[in-house]
Amino acid sequence: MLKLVLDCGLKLERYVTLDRDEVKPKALGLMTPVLAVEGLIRSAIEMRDPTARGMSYAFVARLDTGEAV
Amino acid sequence: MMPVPEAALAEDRYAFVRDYLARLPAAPGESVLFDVGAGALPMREHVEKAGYAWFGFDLHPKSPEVVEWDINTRFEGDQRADVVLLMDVIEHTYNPGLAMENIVRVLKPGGRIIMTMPNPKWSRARTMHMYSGFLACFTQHDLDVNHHVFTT
Repeated sequence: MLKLVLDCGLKLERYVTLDRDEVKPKALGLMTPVLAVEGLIRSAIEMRDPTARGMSYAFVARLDTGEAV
Repeated sequence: MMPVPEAALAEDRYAFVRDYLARLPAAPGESVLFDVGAGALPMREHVEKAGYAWFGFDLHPKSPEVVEWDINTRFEGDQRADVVLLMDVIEHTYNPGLAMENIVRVLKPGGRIIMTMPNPKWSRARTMHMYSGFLACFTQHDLDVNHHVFTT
């Protein structure tokens, strides 16, 4: 998506991830061990890749040239 | 190379856009915002409070204040926008490159787009993919019912 934005002559001003959630299980139950393992995997992924931290992401981009595509 | 996000925020897209617009200088009576995919108009009040004239567009308008526009086609009006808002819209388009070109055509010089999208690189999406074969937000249900056809 970023490539499409830049190819249109826009300059990226902001890029953030949104809806970051808690990777730890919220309550104890039968699924707790599974969720705990999933939480560990997610934590490892997020530590290695900051783009993984959030269900959504947002761009703000600006048209610098004044010329439309 | 994909840049690193400057922040990982707990807030949702509505809060992010509301806060961003509140800090973005607007010239009341002059600044125009196109809300593409306006839906049930959740952002109109925030946009107008920030000093922008709000214009709503949607492929299937549900309000008389919203104008029909398929962003895979060129905008037919003369109005141009200081800001175009695309909140979880682009992943519904069959040709996102064409849609982006049509969006950029309606921007004033120096105009901005604010876009939000589902994140296929979300850690939950990746673990879900391991056991289901689908990324979160891009399941068969999302394709059939929500019409999510694109992301990256």
